[in-house]
Amino acid sequence: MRALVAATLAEAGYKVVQAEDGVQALEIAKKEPVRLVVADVNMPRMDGLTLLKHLRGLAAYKFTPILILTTEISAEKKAVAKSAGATGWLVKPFDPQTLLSTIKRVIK
Amino acid sequence: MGGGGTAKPRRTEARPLASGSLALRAAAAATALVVLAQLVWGSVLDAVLVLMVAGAWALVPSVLARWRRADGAETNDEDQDGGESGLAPELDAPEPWPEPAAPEPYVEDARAFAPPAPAGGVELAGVGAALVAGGRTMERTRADIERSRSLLREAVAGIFESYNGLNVRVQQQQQLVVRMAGRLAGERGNDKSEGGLFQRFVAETEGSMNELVQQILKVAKQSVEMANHIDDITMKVVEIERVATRAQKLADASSMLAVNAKIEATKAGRHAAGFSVVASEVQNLAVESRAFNEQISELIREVRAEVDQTQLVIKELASQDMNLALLARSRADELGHEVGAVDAHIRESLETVASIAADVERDVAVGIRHLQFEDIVTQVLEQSALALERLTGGTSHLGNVLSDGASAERVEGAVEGLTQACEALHVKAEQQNLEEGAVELF
Repeated sequence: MRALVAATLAEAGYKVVQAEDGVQALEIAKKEPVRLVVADVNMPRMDGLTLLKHLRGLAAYKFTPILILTTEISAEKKAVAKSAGATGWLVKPFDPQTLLSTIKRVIK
Repeated sequence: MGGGGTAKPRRTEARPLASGSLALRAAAAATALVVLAQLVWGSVLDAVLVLMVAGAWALVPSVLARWRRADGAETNDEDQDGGESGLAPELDAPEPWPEPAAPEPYVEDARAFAPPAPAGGVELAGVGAALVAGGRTMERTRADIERSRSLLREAVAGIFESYNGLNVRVQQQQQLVVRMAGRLAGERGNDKSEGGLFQRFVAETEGSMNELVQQILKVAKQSVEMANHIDDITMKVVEIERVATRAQKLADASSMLAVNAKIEATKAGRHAAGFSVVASEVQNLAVESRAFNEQISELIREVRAEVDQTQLVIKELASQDMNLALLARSRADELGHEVGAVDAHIRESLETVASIAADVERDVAVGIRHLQFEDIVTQVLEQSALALERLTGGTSHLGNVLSDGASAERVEGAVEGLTQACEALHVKAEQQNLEEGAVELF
């Protein structure tokens, strides 16, 4: 799944940094500022919503677009993501063009 | 899933309740199992889970039948041998599951198939052993699910890698074709002023051909002028011939005059000897003049012949030059039309390639969307595995509690724990198909 997203973004010309889970993503984000985060909800060690909260707690990521790409369709989880500062909520399966156009809209 | 009914318990022969607490325990266990079946409903492992649950329930009539046989025959040797130890071989090798005696109507109230009065703790221990064995089966099933997840993940990763590589190669091929066709058709990125290879070839060929035609026409015109000059020369040569003829006549007249003078000098005798010498010299002069005129006439004839030949060659050359020029011009026009047709074909092919590229891009998008089934199915399998894990733990615990002949409170606690564990399961993926998911920006 991660490879699908990474390949879609890389093909569109974005430089992509991948992380296996929320913990690794947070470490990378602290070391190397990124302009956009695309995170799943269900990940080992640290889930996407926890990662979202941690990132929003960092000054460098206060306004960085963070898209949640997930299989979850429950309104409850979406509400949690929204209140935690997610920029958008994308339900899988995603269409590559839709993902890219959404990213263009939020990354500006 | 059409297997919903199979998960529901079947009633065994109705018997009066010998023990209220035992009936409640069995009913509670039934509730827990049904809850799990509902929780995992809709997943790809429905069949596995439902069959497994049905199999666990299929054991119940068998156990109850043993209880019935044990009822009132506590000291029977067969029952003593076939109690817990007699059931063990079936539990160690749970497949195939024992079939229920006969299908009977579904009964909502689990107490309806409650076991007969227990004889000591033997019957409860049998139920417990069955649940423990069921737990082992569930554990094996959970391991199968994990293995399936692993295989699925590996297979899809390989498919994606292959698919992505194929996609990249196709795109490279398309870019190459587009670039090549673009160069031929004259689309060279920002610099379109130079035109394409064919366009430039046509333009340059046409220019060169026009220049060549102009040169040939000029040469043809000069050839005609030269032919006219040759005509003039021919006329002059004819004039020279005429003059030479007159000179020949003058030489002949001079010769005749010299002969007559010599005759007259002979008649005059010795006094005209000097005149006779002059007459001889005049005759010699006339002879030389005739010879000289003949040489001139011969040269003039040769010159005329050469001029005539030259005139023919020049006329032929002028005619050929003109034909060649006209032919070259016609061929250049044909070539221009042919190149124009090739150019149009290239542009048309370029549009087709662009259209194919768009189709491939759409196909890739569809492929990428459908490849995400792995993530969705993996999460479904994960939640199914988690459900089985909890069910395994809860069932095993309940089985152990029953086998140990624990108190009703402990049994109820185990049942409650199992029920709560199953109800607390969170559904991570509920997608019913691979249609594109919703997008919402906050």
